[in-house]
Amino acid sequence: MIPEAVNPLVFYNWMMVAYFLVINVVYTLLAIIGWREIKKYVRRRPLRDYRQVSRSPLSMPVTILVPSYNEAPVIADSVRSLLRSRYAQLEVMVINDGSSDGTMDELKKEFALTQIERIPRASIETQPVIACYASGTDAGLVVIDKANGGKADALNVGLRFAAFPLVCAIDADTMLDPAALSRLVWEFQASPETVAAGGIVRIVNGSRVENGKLVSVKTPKSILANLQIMEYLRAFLGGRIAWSRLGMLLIISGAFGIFRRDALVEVGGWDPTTVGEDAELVLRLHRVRRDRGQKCRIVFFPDPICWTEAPQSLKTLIRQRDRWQRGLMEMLIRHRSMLGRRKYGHVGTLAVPYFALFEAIGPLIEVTGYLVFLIALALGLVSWPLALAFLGLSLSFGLVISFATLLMEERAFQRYPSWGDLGKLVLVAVIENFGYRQMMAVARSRAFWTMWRGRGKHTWGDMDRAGFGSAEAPATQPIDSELVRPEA
Amino acid sequence: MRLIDALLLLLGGTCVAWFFMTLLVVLSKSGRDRRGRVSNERRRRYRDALEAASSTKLGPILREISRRKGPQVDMLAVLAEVAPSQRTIHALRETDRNQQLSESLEYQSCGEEPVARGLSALLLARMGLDRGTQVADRLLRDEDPDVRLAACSALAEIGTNAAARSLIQSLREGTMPAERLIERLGAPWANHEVLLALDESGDPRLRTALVRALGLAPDRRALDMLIHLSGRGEDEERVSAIRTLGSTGPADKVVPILCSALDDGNPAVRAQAARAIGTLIEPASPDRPETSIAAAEQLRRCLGDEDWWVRANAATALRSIGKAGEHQLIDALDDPDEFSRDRARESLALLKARATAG
Repeated sequence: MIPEAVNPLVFYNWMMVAYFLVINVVYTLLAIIGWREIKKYVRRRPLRDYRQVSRSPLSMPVTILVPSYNEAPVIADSVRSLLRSRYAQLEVMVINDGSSDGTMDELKKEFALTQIERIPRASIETQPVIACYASGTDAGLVVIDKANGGKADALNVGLRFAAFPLVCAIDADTMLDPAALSRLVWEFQASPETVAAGGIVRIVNGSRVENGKLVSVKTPKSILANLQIMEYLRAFLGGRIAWSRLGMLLIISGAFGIFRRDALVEVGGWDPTTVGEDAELVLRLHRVRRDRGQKCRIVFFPDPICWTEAPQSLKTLIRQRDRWQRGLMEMLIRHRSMLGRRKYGHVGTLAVPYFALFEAIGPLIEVTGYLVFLIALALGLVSWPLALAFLGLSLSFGLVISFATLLMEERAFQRYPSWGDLGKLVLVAVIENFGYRQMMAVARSRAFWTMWRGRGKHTWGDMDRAGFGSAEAPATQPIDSELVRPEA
Repeated sequence: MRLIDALLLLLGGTCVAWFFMTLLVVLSKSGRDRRGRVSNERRRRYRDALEAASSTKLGPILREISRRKGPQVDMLAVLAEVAPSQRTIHALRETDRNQQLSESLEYQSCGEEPVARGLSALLLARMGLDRGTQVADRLLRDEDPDVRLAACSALAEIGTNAAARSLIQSLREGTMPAERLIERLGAPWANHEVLLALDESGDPRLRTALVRALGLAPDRRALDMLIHLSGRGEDEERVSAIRTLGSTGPADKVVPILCSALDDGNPAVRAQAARAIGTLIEPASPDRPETSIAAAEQLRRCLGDEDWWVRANAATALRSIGKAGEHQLIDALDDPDEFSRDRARESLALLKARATAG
């Protein structure tokens, strides 16, 4: 019996070697393209007058949509930090998605809310709106209270009521760098065919936050949070910059992205029936706009920064990765007709196949690969020297990519200024290969099972919120929504 | 070659790559730290020299700037922090009297490298050197959009009639997004040329853009032109002029004009007029109470306008103008129109909340 079983195992191992080589070649190419783009950006930075964008009354006005569900510990600080953004025409719209933890009461208490009438500017089907509120303390703040319907539904309500031509979707537990908006808006002003732009998301754990403002950046003490810092750096600097350069960006993080409101309304807003509404929306924008023969520029910009709290417990982290993976798979299943279609350009012929093979099925291949490899080793089908050489190679390739990302970070941004922080990140880049990456692959593979069972759909995903710190009411600029003629 | 040999070869290669990458990370970090220190020291030196406005100190600095990009970026950063005084500009010109730096920067502005072209325009402008306008004017038509925008910023910093003419010409040619030019032309130094162009041009697109620019920083002559256009211009010009008048005032002169615009045939003009009245009349210290009362009565009438945008802006304006507005809002609670009643109720609730909060 063994000889028959031997061939498939050996074949699978060969497949694993081929898969491993291809994926690492792709990662290397992406890192090289990312490196070139970052260099170009750093060189051109002195030419760009972002301050002019933030202070000009003629810059495109932005409505920041803050969907929130049970965010009572962090909501006031988040809103204050957003109101403090350096941007001339800004409206912050918090959409309370039927929270049960007193988020609405917290908002009423902190910002002296009063009920107002507000006329929707777009017709998108959503859960009913209970009431709209304006703030008595901050003229730029609007709060919408609605029945629970999930994050995408909350964002769609925001889209209906947003006054301005650009909408910025962020998570309620995130903080924006004061200059982040002007840098992303620059992309829209420089190129009118831009429909969406995403910025880098960084982890705030460990940094000092005072009054809803980031005072100093430091790596956290928790090893889990440090591991996530490395992961985020690799994903954003080592991946998205290159995808954006190639015109094949498929994901704009739900934590921070700016969109043209009219483009979103045209495609029907965020899809409330998927857990990965952020990625699904981007792919739908690519698809619908190309179907209609419209231009579609979707970009990632490495400098505008959004700071977010990373999960501090393994359980929450695993749940988060499970949700992200399900979102990715749902997105690819829904838009499977784009796969390999030349009509959709490189998005259809390269990006979608890549995401299907390496990002969606990849974790499963990786986990089964470990198992088959161990079985083959136990059966003596693979020699120990070969096994060790392969493991060593996979480890060193991973290290090269991680260190290339660290190099990009150091050359271009240096957000973690001390040698101690750099040392910690270097250490983390090494130790993540011994257990953490494998664990994340298992967590992501679990998504197949969760999806198969049909569990956990359309949830917000629980997070343990620690909050950013104490806060005071900031001075804000009044909004100028009357300047914008809505298409009611 | 056997598989194991290939794997070992690759392993060796990646280990070497990893080693170099680690080395590069460390070198990059220390290099940046060192460059940061050098740059800080240089900026301090530049700041001192600019403040002292001494040719002796500025001489070596200008030579340094003419040759290398790092010092150029540092000088730009310093000039952005400390706006140079007339005395400093005079000293810079005096130090560069043999035109060594100007010529060098002008030469760089014709080079292949876009960043060098953009930097040269910005430096010439910020340092107030002679060839700034001419270089920036040429770069407004550069093939690179970042360089064009840098040239646009440079002209705004030069701030002369010649610079304004260059920007208006670019607006006419459509070489870059109109908003970027308008926001730079929206400054007092540009008003003379903008008014001249407005007189001369019959192109409605250019005229609308120029009205918007005038509105960003209107002086007395510009105000007269805006008042004229608010009643007699094209639709876009009227909207733009009225919006501008709302932010400039003076209230006693402008509010009666805005009140008459509330009867305009174009709802966009009426909506902007309503909003402008709200921003002009100070609730705490109305210049003339009778002006507020008359405006409030007119706005109350707009609560029943056929266009909801006008009604919405009228309610917001009534909320902003103090007691006179509040009386009209209370009165509007009995209005036969449901929308007017709702807006009045909402505005009164907000007034109450703000009074409680503040």
